Amino acid sequence: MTLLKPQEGDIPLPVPGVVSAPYWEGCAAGELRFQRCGTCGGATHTPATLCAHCTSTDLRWEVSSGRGTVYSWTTVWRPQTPAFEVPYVPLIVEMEEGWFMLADLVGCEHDAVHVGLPVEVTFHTHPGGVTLPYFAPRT
Amino acid sequence: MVGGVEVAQPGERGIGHHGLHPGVDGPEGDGLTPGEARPPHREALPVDLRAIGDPTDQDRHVEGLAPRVDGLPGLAPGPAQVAVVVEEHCEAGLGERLGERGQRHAAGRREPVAHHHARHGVVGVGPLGQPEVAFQDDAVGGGYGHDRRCGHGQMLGRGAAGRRGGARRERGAGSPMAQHPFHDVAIVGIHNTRQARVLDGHDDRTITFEAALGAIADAGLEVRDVDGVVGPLGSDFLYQSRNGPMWRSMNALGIPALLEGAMAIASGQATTVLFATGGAGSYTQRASTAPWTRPTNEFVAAYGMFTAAEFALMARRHMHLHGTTPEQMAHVAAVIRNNGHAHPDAVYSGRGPFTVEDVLSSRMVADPFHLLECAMTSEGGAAVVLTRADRAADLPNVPVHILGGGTDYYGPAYQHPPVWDLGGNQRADLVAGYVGRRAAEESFACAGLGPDDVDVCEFYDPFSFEIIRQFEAYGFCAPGEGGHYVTSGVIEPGGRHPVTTDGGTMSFSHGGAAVQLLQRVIRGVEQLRGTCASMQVEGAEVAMCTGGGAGALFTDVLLLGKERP
Repeated sequence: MTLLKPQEGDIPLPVPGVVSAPYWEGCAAGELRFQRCGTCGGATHTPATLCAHCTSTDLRWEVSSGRGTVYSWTTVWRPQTPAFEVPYVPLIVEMEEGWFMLADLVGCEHDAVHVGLPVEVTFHTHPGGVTLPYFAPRT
Repeated sequence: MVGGVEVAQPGERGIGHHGLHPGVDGPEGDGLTPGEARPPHREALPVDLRAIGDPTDQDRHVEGLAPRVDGLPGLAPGPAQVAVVVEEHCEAGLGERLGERGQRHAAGRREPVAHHHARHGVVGVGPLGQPEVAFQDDAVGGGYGHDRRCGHGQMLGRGAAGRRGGARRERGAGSPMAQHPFHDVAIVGIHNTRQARVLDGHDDRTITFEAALGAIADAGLEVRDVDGVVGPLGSDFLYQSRNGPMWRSMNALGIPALLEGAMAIASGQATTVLFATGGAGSYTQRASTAPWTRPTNEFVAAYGMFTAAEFALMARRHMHLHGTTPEQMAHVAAVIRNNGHAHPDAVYSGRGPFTVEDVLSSRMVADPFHLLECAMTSEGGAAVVLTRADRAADLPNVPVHILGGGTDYYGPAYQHPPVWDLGGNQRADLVAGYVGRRAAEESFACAGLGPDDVDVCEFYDPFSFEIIRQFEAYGFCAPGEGGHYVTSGVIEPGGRHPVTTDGGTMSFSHGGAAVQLLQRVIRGVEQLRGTCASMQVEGAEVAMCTGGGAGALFTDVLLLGKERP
């Protein structure tokens, strides 16, 4: 029994931009942040200048519950680079607040994944110093 | 008479208001040859259609009227440019101009035109400066897309009657229309260099230039004829050839780049456009996936994403929604790889044949995609030459025409979660899972065609599922039915819609970031020319070429035909 776990190798790490910096700062603080529109109330991810629903620029950072369900998944056996240990399981998670994000699955075996699996965010600080969100099955 | 064409002296008559000449197709028009006439001053345009009477039983109906100058009435000389008169009819059922007919004068294009005098035909009213060739006996057809318009309001039908699916002549259905946007454009040169896993001694530039020279030679042209270039290395080509100043586009990717070149010709900015692309020597770190599959991005790269995983996330959602099976996807891969197996120039020529079981037993790359369901990595060059359709008549190859084209994008590729249900405000009824549907609808409408008219489906095949998705997206079958559709015998050689007949990116080549996107177009041209070394679809008249895919949030569509639109 091998549990999926965060990647520790020399993987490509995110370089935050002006718009996305609050998202990555949130991860470092253990918060999964997304943007909520002050005009229409819609949720937006990935970090943006325009609201995905109404194009308003009145976007405000909020902290997600971190809970969602698996919307789609794949198990990767041929890694992007040799730095990745296989298998790993990229997911698209539909968050409770109505937005989608992509991250890898951890904390279970690779064949435990299925569409609709309830998951919850968990953070891991890579040796390179960046804290990445992952998802684990909700217990 | 000048050159067999009746002309009037400047100011001799009000060219915009003379009456219709019912007998213009009669004996006095016989024996005339194609030619040019001189224009009136532009104030002579336009014509008041409503001032001209309805067709009557006395109007002459002439059989076999060919596209040529027919002793057009009302031609007038002018100082510099060309003018022609196009007569037209509008018939019942055509909206606001119900039952009317009229004449039209246009200036600016040096090409012969026909006098349209059919009792039951329709030609469009184009913008000034765009006379059009009309064909007698073109029927007003019903059928697919009759309530649609292409981007500029044009509808185009098949001039030839009797094709399955019936006559689809639909110009004139509704508002006045312009000439087909690519009427003046023809694809006259194509070339694939040798394609291989590795091309020793080449880099991007050398293989691109080899492709460029090959396509120019195939077209029967000289380097000096090129006055427009598309692609990142086009600038190098024009500099080295000292062919400037000329029109240039930096567009790199397949169909959108080709369409840009075609539009440059259609708009008079260029006469002969070269689009060359190539890749060699850039994929050296073989332990990683190819560099073009893994663009750096802060929201995907750290999770090990690359193209196979991106497309797998789309495929998985479709499997969840519709029960699409690994066997159905593997069937697609087997068909395409067997096409490549039979192609003498494919990178994986002779490497098959493959069964569904072979595909499913190959190692998993990104579930649900096995190795044999994924594009290869390779090196090679490809190029296309476009020129004006009137010039194409003097060139050696069967010209291939652009009947319609479109591009659909939902955003940059591989930077955001590839969510099947990602929507957009341009078309609230569509989602990213069906990206390409809008482009296909508009392309079909522009061509006056539908899926049933497509003889060859040169669909882009980065991963097996993408073929299933595209048949649904383009309306060949209903959403969710793609898996059954592709296993019903239609996509194999000899089937109703043979797919990716050279082996595509799985077996023919994937020569870098962009080369393979142009190769669907090249294969479509080969099919319409009838020159395929393998898997030739006999009598192919319409080819549908595509590029992109849902995992990349874009899909491009190009409809090619043998008949000038």
